[in-house]
Amino acid sequence: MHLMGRRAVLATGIVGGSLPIALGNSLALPDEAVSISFFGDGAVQTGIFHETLNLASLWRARVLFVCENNGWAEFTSRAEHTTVETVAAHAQTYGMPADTIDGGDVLAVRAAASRLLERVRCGNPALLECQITRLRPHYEGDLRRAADPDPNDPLERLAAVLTDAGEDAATLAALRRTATVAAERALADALNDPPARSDDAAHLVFRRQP
Amino acid sequence: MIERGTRPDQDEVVCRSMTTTQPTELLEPLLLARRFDEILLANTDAIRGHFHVSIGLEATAAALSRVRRSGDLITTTYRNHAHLAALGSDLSVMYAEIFGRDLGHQRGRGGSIHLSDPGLGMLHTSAMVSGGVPIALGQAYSLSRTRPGAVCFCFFGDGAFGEGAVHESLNLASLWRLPLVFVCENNAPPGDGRANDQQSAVSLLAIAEAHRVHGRAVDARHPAAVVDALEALAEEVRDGDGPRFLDAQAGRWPGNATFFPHDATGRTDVRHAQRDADDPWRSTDDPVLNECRRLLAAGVGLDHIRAIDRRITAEVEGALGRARLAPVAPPEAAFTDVVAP
Amino acid sequence: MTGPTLVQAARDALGQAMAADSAVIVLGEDVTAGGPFGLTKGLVDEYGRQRVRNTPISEGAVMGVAVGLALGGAQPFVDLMFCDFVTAASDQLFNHAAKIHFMSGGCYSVPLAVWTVGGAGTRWGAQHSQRLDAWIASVPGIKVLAPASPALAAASVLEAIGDPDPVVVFVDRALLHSRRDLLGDTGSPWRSRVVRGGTELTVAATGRLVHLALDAADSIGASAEVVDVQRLAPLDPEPVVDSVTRTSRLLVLHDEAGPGALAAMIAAAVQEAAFWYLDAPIARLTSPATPVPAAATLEDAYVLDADAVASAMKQVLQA
Repeated sequence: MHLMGRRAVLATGIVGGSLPIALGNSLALPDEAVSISFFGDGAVQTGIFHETLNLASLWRARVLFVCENNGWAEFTSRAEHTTVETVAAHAQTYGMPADTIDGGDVLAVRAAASRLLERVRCGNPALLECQITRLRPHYEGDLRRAADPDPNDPLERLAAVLTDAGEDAATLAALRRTATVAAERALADALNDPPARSDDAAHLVFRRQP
Repeated sequence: MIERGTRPDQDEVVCRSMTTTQPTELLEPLLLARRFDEILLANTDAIRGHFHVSIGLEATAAALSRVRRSGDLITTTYRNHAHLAALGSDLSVMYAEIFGRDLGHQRGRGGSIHLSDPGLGMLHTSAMVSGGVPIALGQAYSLSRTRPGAVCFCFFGDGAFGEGAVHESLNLASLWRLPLVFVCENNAPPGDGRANDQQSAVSLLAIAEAHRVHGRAVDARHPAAVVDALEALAEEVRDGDGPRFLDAQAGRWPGNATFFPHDATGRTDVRHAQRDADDPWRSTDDPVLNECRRLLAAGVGLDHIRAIDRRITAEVEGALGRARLAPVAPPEAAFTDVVAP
Repeated sequence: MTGPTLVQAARDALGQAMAADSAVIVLGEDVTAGGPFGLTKGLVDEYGRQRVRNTPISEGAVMGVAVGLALGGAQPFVDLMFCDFVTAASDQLFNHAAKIHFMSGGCYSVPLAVWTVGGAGTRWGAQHSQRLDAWIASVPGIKVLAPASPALAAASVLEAIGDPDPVVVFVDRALLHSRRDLLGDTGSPWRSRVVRGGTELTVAATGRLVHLALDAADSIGASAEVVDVQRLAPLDPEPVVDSVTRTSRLLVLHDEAGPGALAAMIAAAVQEAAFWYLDAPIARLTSPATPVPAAATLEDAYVLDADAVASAMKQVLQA
């Protein structure tokens, strides 16, 4: 739940926890660079979401807030969490440009994100609400499983669009194979790594031991 | 399920005796609140702690006293003197608590910033900004289960909108259709097309609406208007239509200071209602003077107003005297009642 | 006494840090007005509103903003006003700031500095008078410094800002306007320090209680070795242990409610390392296990005073 790397600065297990961090991060970035914050629709009902959007707007921070709205927060539907239908409506309250789009349409997401990012770079924090269908359960191991394959699968939808545009099946199949091979190789490499050592833990608490 | 602590008695007379046909029915709670705080400011030698005054914000408290019904609950903030005084709380007990004396149920443990009166439906007062809001939510939830038609009034200042807890509470109140009236005592000047300089939204109403809590704004320098607004909203809530929000916009009293208020405008002289004044406080912002002006325009004589004022002032001074004679809170009160027996 | 007060010294250190490094950014409520205690007085005039940022009453988001700033290479300094407000900031401080270095496998550290003031005695009541330092100190990943003199407060501020990890400078409210200095004021805030040598017992204390211990020892004519604990997390019990090996008696003083988590940690550490040196059980003196009452007479009954400390010392000496 806390995968972090060089490009993705932070992942948190606390719903809503990363929003203010993204805001703060944007304040430390060089001009034109932006911070992108991903979160689910469950985070929208947290107080920290509102505190953060208000601050972002007041401070004209270069943050793009991206809400992956799949209509579920853990095991509860959005309708049981709030009477507000779209997340973008909240952004408008704080004077932010916002857009609600079909998050399963990769090309639409790219187009909307590009449009909003241009505004963000000029100091207008914005919110992009991507409405998506949840294909898998909240976590792996949850017994409520969707049937495979799913017509809502964004990959399948993109494949259909590309096919209609003239891409041939062999090219698409080759792309899938390349990705699968890369993932399988990464998995194999990871399984070959030695287990994490518990005696390393104490040294990771602080960057500098007092 | 009975709430822990003192439960408001539904048969108890909780408001001062005023008939609804009395034109001066709003003036009395206004003056009770105003004189309470002015006389407090003249007796700061007896205060050994921190306090805030409600001067300038009395209209919402006075309106509450007219709109509240027996069985309703109230949460307020560290700026609570007007709410208690206007509702008819025992003024000597209030003063005593502020002075750290042992006269009421709090026994000096709370002081000014935590003044409460369970008999009036104010069970606990938080001094944390927005602290009372989620509590009001729970109280409203409790009322919805045990006392249909009863309402919880939740007071907070404009600064509270910075706290996520207010947003969470607005959302939940709307989602669960709770009988809650959110009243924002808003004394912040507007800021450049925004509600104020700490909020990016155009208005506090817009924020409430975003959470699907409908409401209205009112000029809280005019008490009669506040009564109308609060009454209308409370009725909608009593009818089961979900929560409501009132943005009660007041002017800022010149003596308002973050930690220690100071007496910047002296004792209110109701005769100023008939005179011109060149300072904004006396000419437009003082809700007490504005109510006097309304009464004068309605044909109530100045002498009558002054007579009421004298009576109330004497009452407040008497309460102060009793409080100053009350014993200091004994040390053993510091260590009891941490948990229920 | 003519030196600066503790808060003045801290303010000067903060100004110094801001002058030396443009990455230092101050955030908090009322910081442009100098704050309620004067910590940020005048800084906005020198460094502008981009570096001295007034915030709405949004402690949760503001602490998170500070974490994000820190991850982005800035040096945020959060004025958390009253330590009671750490409750509102706790998710970002405890679940994020404290854990990012660990969870990222050392990829990122969070150079966050937090200043907060706690303690009873000023009639602010239960929600504005707590000592929550034990709670903060119990979360791995946060360093906590509790300076007891102006010089060490200044040093703590500088160290907190220069440290790559989250550091909370926890200031005793009773010492904000104190000018009293202590032996060892030129030393490091990271080590517990002996502020007076003695032979009959060791008194380990923090904040104002260090000064009270010195005064109480004088009043009963005891030769007490007083150790200013200073670093509350990770705890540095070694100087206390070392002292106990010479005096054989220990009294731990801490301004916290109840049995005292921090006092217990110190006592436990000494018990483990120096049990065989002890001539008497370790004693702890903390405040009652109640919320802080507001009334003066009640709060005076709650707050440890010189008499209580002297009396506890006598008991340990006679045990």
